[in-house]
Amino acid sequence: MTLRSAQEGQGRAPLLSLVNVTKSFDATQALRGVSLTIKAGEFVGLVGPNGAGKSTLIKILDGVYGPDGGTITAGRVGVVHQDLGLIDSLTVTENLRLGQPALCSVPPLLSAVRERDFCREALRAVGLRADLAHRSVERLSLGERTLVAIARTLARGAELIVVDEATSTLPPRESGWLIDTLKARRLAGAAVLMVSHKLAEILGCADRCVVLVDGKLIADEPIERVDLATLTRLMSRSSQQQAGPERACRVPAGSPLLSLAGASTALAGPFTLDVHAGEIVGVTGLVGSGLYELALLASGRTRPASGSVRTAAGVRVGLLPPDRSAQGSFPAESVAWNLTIGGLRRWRTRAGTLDHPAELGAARALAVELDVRPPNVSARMAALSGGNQQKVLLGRMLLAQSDAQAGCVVLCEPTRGVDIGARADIYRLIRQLADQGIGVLVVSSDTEDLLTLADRVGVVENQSCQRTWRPDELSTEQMASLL
Amino acid sequence: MTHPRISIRRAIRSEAVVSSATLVGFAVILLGGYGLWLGGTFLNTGDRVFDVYQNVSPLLLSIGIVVALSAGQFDLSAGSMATMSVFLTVGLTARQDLPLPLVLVVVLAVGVLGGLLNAFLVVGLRINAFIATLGTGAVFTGISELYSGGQTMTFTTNPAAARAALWFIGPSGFGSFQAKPPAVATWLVVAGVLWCAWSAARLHWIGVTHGRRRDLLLGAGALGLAGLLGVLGIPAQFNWTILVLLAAACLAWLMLAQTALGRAIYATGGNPVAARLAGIGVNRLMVLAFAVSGFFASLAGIVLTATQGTAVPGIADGFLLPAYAAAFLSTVIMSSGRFHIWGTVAGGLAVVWVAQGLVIGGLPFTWTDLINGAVLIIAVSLSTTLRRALVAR
Repeated sequence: MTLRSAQEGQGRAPLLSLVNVTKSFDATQALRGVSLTIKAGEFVGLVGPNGAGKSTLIKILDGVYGPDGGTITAGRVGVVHQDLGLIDSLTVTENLRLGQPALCSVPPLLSAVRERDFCREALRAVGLRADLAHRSVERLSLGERTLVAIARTLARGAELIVVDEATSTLPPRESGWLIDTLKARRLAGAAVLMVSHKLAEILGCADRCVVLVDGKLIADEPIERVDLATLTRLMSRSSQQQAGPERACRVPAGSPLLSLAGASTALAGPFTLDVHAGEIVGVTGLVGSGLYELALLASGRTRPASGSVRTAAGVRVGLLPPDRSAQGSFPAESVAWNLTIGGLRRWRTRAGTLDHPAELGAARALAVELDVRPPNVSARMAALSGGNQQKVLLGRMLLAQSDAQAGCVVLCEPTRGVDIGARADIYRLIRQLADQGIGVLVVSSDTEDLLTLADRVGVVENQSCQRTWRPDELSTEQMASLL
Repeated sequence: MTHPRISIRRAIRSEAVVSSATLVGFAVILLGGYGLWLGGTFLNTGDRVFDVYQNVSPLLLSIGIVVALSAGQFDLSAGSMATMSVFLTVGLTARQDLPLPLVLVVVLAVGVLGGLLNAFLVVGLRINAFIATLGTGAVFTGISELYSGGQTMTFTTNPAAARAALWFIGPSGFGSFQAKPPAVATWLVVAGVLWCAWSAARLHWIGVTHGRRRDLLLGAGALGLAGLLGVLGIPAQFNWTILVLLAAACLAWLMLAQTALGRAIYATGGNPVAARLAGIGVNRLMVLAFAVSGFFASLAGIVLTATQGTAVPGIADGFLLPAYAAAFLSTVIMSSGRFHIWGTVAGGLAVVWVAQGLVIGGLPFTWTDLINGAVLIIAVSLSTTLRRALVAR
């Protein structure tokens, strides 16, 4: 079957052809000359480590960005993003018709009959029951939602369906269902480009596999010629080159500062892990895998529904939230304000007012220590680059910590949206924290953070994480799931 | 370790000063423009202080609203709460024969309870604050109507109570413009306001070199201002209700601008998720903000009772719009995109004087609402644009 469809593809005109496409953002070169051809009837898997340029490539295919160089010849491309882009409160019909010209028989009144026929057709194409048409999207399962999103791209006449991590949050039965549907569309003459972190899944369903590393396509092979070990080797080559200086791995000693035992929320868990003084524990997983629920549990921001989260006596757990703009910064306020907001009680005078000069002095000293640029703490937070804002948030957490007896911090996505220079600074700061005896839990979907920093590594899979490994203990499959 | 410090000269060019300049510019245009046009009929301290006197109630209302807005909450029930407080003050005294001091305490407590009801709906049940406070506002109006039977209530129906309440509503009582407090009390409050202005300016210029010189300069400025006010005889025109307004503004400003509590309130309004994750008790602060708003609404009702002496249906409902206009004006004057107590008081008075000048100049008073509405819209558009420009920078 695989061979036949690939041969059928030979004679057809390509649906997509990229020649030497480049794209860069400021100093970062996201794509360095990518050439790729996809023909009708093909099912191509795209894999690569975090930061390899996969999202940039998809956004270029979707028309969000234009390329800096190279040529793109594309037929009708439909992209299904990881977040699907459906409006949960609307019905399936309304979502399918969103942004399309109105179907009317007596304009401007919408024709229920024509919309029903349209939806019946669109849902049949992805193997969904027609009676879902009037259900609101929030009442569908995750797999059904993904299929509705695919139905929408198909209904708009897409010949090439690009699916970004659509199976990452699905339970196995539903992702199998989704892949069968995609295979069926391929036989009907469409092509599929599927991006996935699950290498085994790509090996099981694609005809061809392309590997993107550091903005370059380093492999483009028929699926028969690659296996898990090859892909893992190809993908890890780059991250090892980028890794910072070695840090002696620490063996946990004494009783843990922070310990989760089977802790779970309504949505995620159970999680079991310990953080000791001076240790950096890294946990990774895909976005939506329950990673941030783990961070909120560990930092005490949410209470476990079952299991327990314990901290040693006198330990206060600091949290660096995953989403800097939505959960961390106050963009309209000054840098000093942002630094001190978590620990104001230190500057409270006897009269109850704040000792502003002392507060400002502490903020200045901290900004210098963190190397925040520009060093003017009266500047607005919004005027700082992402990396410097991240340093300010780290500083806020340290300030809030510094009157506790023993420290423990949970850092979510510490290097998200941060350029290379600031990334090195942040790694240095985190190591410094551990060297001071603070227990550090790094929760990051960027595996480079973990491979560079962590003494022990855990992976959140299917909303759960039960144990951690030393980096040298990891098996090929585990490395593969990390990348 | 050396820290980057900024010189006085650079500080003067800072954004805080630029936004204070907005106020000064506005005042110059307003006073200068109307002064040239209308001369002594507008630039008459007695008449202008009388304008303040007439607007103490809406300004008190707006102080509470600013606290709620700073915590990110809309309280649309404040006007109705003030109306209900007027009915309760008159009714509990004249009909229920309760002693007036006790009535005042009860009314303030009812205001706080009303705020807690709003907080329960918004924070506890997570109902949209617009809808919840619109609903409770209707409930407060309904309670006033049920209590009064839809009629006007006066003290005079109970001569004994009216006599006992003379210190409150009488021609030389608390609510009268003619009755002036002792000079000591007036100057104490004025000194408080000037101290607030002095420390606000210090706060703006906290980063400058030569801290002593700065403090001396600002101190001289505050004393000069006090002297100017004294020469113009403005404080001598203040009555008790104006002193209540100024004292309330001082306290509210202290809480918002000078305490950790105020900082946490602004953080809650600015980004509730970030505030919660930074360890701030966001829900507690929202409850507090509604309670403060309710408290000030009932205080506004009490002051209105003292000045009017009667409870007319819907008497304070119309204060909601000017109060919100003043609050949103505060985000453009004396502050950069943030709700601010002194900016609110100044903004509220500016709106009043803009309208009053036009009325003195011959425009029928029926235009007042239209002018208020227009000023509110202009202020909000300005503040939104300014905030966007600042955040983008």
